[in-house]
Amino acid sequence: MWRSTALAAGVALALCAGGRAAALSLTFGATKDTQIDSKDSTVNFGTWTTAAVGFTVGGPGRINDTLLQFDLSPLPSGAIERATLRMFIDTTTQDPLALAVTIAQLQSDFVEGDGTTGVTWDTQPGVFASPLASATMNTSPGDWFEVDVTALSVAALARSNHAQIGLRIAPTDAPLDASSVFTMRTKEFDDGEQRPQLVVAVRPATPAPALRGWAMLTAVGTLLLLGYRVLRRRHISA
Amino acid sequence: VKLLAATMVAATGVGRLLRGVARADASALHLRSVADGDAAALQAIMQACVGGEQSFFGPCGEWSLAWAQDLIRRCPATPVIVRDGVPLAFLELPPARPAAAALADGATPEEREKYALRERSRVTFRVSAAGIRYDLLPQDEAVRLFQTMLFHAFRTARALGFEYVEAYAPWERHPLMSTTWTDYPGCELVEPPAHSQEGGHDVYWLRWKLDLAISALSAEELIDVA
Repeated sequence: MWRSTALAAGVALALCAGGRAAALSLTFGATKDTQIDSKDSTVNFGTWTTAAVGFTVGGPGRINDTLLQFDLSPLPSGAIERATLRMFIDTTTQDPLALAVTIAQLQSDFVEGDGTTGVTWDTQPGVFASPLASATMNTSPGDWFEVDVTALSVAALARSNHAQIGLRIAPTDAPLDASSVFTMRTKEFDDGEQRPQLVVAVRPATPAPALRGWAMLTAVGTLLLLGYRVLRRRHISA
Repeated sequence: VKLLAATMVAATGVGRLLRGVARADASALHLRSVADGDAAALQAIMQACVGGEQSFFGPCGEWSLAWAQDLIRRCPATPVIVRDGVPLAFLELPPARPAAAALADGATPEEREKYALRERSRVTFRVSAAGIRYDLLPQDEAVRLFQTMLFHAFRTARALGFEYVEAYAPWERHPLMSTTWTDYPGCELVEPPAHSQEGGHDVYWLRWKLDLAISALSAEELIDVA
C-alpha cells in the first residue's frame, strides 16, 4: 500500500519537476490509397493491393502517381516534432532504383474507388505548391521506404478542418531513359499491416498552470500522508 | 503496353489454313538480337500495331524513332525475327538484373520472406513494347508470327535468368484470339481487373511463369525460325 502511494507521489513530483509532457509517437495507417496512371487515364485502380510510382518508357510513356489519405483526427493537440511517411516496397524495376520522388498535399478529397468508379488520372485532385517533401527512392523490396514529411504535415493540418490529410507521391523529373517504377503495398494487401503509414511524433500541449498546481498539491499531500503512516506504524510497533 | 496483352496471345489455329504458306516463309525467317540499324523497322512495327482502330492492338499513342533508338541502346538483348534482312517482329527484353547476395543459412523467417520478395522482383520483367508487321501479313499468319515471337522472346528471357513476364493487357482475350490469357497454364491475374470509366480500355495485369509459357507456346502452330 505504502509503496504504491510513494510511487504515485514520485510520478506526480516528476510531472511537476519535468514541466513538459513527453512526446508521443503515433502511427496512422492510410485510410485511402490507390495509384493513378497517365496512359490509362480513365481507369480506377482502387481495389489493387499495390500502388505504383514512376515512369515506364515506350511510345507515349506511362507515369504513375500514388494518392494517399490519412485520418489524423485522433492526434492530440500540440507541436508536431516529426512526421514520417512510410511505404512498404513490393517491387522495383531496377536495383537500386534511384528514383527522385516529390510528395505534395492534395487540395481536396478523392474517392479511392472500387475498380469501376473512383479517382483516375483525369480526375485527380490538384496539389498545393508548397511545402513539398522530396526523397530519392533506393529501398529494396521487403523494406520500408521512409520520407520526412514534417513540414508538409504541419501545413496540411493547419489547412485541414477535419484532419483528413491527402498526399500525392509522384516522380520528380521528366521521364527518364529507362523504366523506373516501384510499387508499395496498400491497405488491400492481406490484413493491411503493410499499408502506407504516417508516423507522427507530437508533444502534447503544455498542461494548464492550474493543473500543475493541483499536481503539486497532490504530491505534497501524498508525501505528508505517507510520512504520517510511517510514523503511526512505528508508534504502534513501539 | 497493350502489346503486352498480345504477348500472352493464345493460338487459334486459324492460321492452319495457310500452313503451307507459312512453311514457305519459314526458310526466310531467322532470329537475332536487335541491331543499331533496326530503329526505323521497330518504329514501323509499332505503327502497324497501334496505328488505328484496325491495327493489331488498337490505338496506343505515338512511337517515335527516338523511342526505337533508345530501346536498342537500353535493351540490346531484345530479340527480333527478320525476313530478308527486315525485322518483322520484336519483343522488348530488358537487361537481366544482378543476383543478390545469397541468403545466410541461419536466416530468420522474416529475412527469408524479404529475400523471396526481392528475388521475385529481380527475376520478373514487364513487357513495355512488342509487335509484328501486321500490315505485311495475312491476319492468321500474323497471329502465328506473334506467337512465334513470344515463344522465342520468352526462351531468351529464361536464358537470361528471368522467371516471370508481366504485362498490362487491355483485354482478357485478344480480339483475334479464342483463348483468354488466364486459360493458359501458369498465366494469372496479379490484381483484379481495373475498368475504364469512359469507354476506354480496361487494364488486366497479367503474370505468366516463363517455363509454363514456353511449354504452352511450343504446343502451338509456330512458324519455323532459323
